[in-house]
Parts: sequence; structure tokens; C-alpha cells
Amino acid sequence: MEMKKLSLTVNGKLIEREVPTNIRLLDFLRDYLHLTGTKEGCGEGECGACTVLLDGKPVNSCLVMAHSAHGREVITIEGIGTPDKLHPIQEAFLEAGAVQCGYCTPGMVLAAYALLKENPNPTREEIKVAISGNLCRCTGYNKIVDAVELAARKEGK
Amino acid sequence: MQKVDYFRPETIEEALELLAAGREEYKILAGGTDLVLHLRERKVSPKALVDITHISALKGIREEEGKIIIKAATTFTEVASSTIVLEKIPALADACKVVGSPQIRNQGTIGGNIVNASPAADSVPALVLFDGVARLTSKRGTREILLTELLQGVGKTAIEPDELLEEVILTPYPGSVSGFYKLGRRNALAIARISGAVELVFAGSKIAKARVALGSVAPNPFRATELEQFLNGREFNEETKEELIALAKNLVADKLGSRASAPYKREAIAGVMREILNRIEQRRGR
Repeated sequence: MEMKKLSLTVNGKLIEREVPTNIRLLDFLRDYLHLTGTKEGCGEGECGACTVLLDGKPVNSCLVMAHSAHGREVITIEGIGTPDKLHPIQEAFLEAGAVQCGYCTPGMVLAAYALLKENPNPTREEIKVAISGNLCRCTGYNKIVDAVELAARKEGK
Repeated sequence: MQKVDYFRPETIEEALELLAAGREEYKILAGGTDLVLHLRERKVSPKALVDITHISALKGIREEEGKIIIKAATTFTEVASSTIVLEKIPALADACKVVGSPQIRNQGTIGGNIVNASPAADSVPALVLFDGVARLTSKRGTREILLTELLQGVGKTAIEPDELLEEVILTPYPGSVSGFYKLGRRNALAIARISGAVELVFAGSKIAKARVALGSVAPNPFRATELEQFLNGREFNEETKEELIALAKNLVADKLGSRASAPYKREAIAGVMREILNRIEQRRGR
């Protein structure tokens, strides 16, 4: 197998590894770094379960080659909050009851995180656009939008 | 995933060396929202990927003597939020705003959208609208070719294996107003069922110049010259709009012939055209 050196920042830490040239960023995060908060759903860029932030912007890590992230900054759900210290967006998801099975939640939280960074006071419509690349098969969309609104209010304080 | 080598050039020269050495065995990776999927599905099996997204010279948008030049590795998000694009060629901003999803728009590039040569490529009708010209570079030299000539059917282009699409050059009419609309099965992540783009230059209440392009009607997006000729010199009023819509319906019916989607699309084009004309009307007032 072809291997090449990959060096990038993941959740603030500089990481250098020899990894195969044919793996996706999703595979690198889950199988090499064991950051399993990033989920694989459809593997086709339709569901957004594998969303991570690449240089601050949400992308589908199932459609990014691992080596394409060389020299760049990746943030996964593990970089947003910890079980002891949840991020305000994560708290808002709990408070609003926006988590059902939880599979889409990491991607939803990251999409919301990127939105609120750019636009701290989004309208409901803007929130819907921001999470339009993330599918929730429990279909609890209203509560997810409520949660993002709540998070915006919390962070605004 | 299948075996594939990977190169990450940082300059155009390095990329051209790789493409010349790899011939048709290397494939350009310009975002990957389609290519990574095609690799997994084994629809393509290149020996190596040449990732051009780390070449800073292939990113950005600039205006030069009335022309708008968009570098190939510029993402849809970057195009949709560019002040130049929003002011001068809003039809392209409309198109880039509705590509896939926010994630896809942050990763996918204008160059990738062109080179894939999909009939439903979202940005291409708007690029074709403004007489888009592709600038192709290789170690052998540089050439410019109209997008309508570059695109040669579903998934086919006139690009040689050693050539790199460096930029697309758009020539909007000075003082024009434009709009684009896409009809998909749902809002996000839908492949265009039918799309259109219109550019108009007004002289008082009349249309002085017009361009019209349609997508998802033929193997590649194309300029609807019949509709353009009809619009030239007409009053911009309800009568003209309704006549235009009737002509567009006929054109779509002609192009699609007996295809299963024809009965749907020849009606749907009416709604698409109305939406585009509404956008132009709103923008004209600004």
C-alpha cells in the first residue's frame, strides 16, 4: 500500500502520521485517531453524519481524502466539548430535547457551531439552511432548530 | 477503497509536470465531492490523484476590464459570497448558493463542476450564460475554449489528459441584471431536474440585450439563442414574459423529444422562467 506522511492539526493538536494514500479523512479520524464521534452514515455526502470542520468550515469527511487535509486544521465533535464540560450548543441540544438516537447529533452540533461562529443571531430560516446538509432520520428537526436558537440566545448573554 | 497514489502540488508548474508524467492515468482532485465517491464505487480507477486544492494560484475571483475571472479551485461558498459575483453576475451567486448542501459548497469547486460535465451541473448554466471561456494550461502551452465547446456530452470534455483547467473567464454585458433558478425534488442536496439562467440589459422599458441558458434539458447546459433573439428589443412586460415562457416550453419539448421526463419538464420550465424573471425584476429595482 502507498503510504505518505500526513501532518495536520486535529482539535488543536499537531498530528503527524504515515498513512495510506487512499483513505478518507473520515477513516483517518475514526480508525487511526479513534475519534469515533464522527459517524459514517451514507458515505455519499448526503447525510452529514460525518461532518467535521476543515479550516473552520463544515465538510463531509467521507468525501475528503485524508491527505487533502495536510497542513490544515480539523475540528471534530471531540474538539467542541467533553462529557464533563459540554459546549453551550451541546447543553442546548440536551435542554431542547434535540437528541433522539443521537447518530446525526455530532454533525448537527458542528454545523450549528460553524453557523453561530459566522452569524451569532441567525433566523430560523438561516438555521434551517445551515443544517440542510444534515439528515435526522428520527426527524426531530424542529427541536434541533429550537436547540440552535437556544444556543444562540445562551451564547449571546 | 481501491489503491490510488496521491500528489499535492503547491504550484501550477508542479501540477502540470505531474499531469504530463501521468498522462491519462492520473486524475485531478479538485474538491472531491464527486470524485471520492466515484473512486469508492470504482467508476474510475486512476493510478494517482493530483490534488489541486493546495495551489493558492488556483483560488480567487477578480475583475479585469469588464471580465470576471474565477480560478478553478474556488469553492461554491467562495463564489456565492463574492462581492464581485453578487454585484456583477448575480445569476452565478444564485446557482452556487443552491449546490448540494453547505458541506458540499465548502468543498466542491467551480472547476470540478465544469470538468465533471454533468447535464445537471448547477453552476454551469450560469457560466455558459456569461459566454464562459475555459483557460486550459499544459506544459505545451495555454489555450482558451468556450465552455459550450469544451463540454462534449454527459461526462465528456475536450480537455486533454495533460491539461489543467486554470480559470473560467466570464463576460457579462455591462450594466446587466441576471438571475438563475433551479428546480430540484427538494431544496437541499437535490440534483437539478431543470434549471435556467437569464441576463438582460435594459434600455428604459425595453430589453436591449438578452442571454438565456438552460440546464438539465440537454447532455450539457446550453445557450437558448431562439429565446435570446425573441427577447432582444422587446418591452419588458407581462406579454413578453408569457410569450417567452411559451417559447421556452416549446424549446424544452423539442430538446427532450420522447424522453420520459419531457411532459414534466416542458411544464416545469414555465415556473423556472417566472422565478428567474421575478428575481431580475427585484434586482432591477435596486
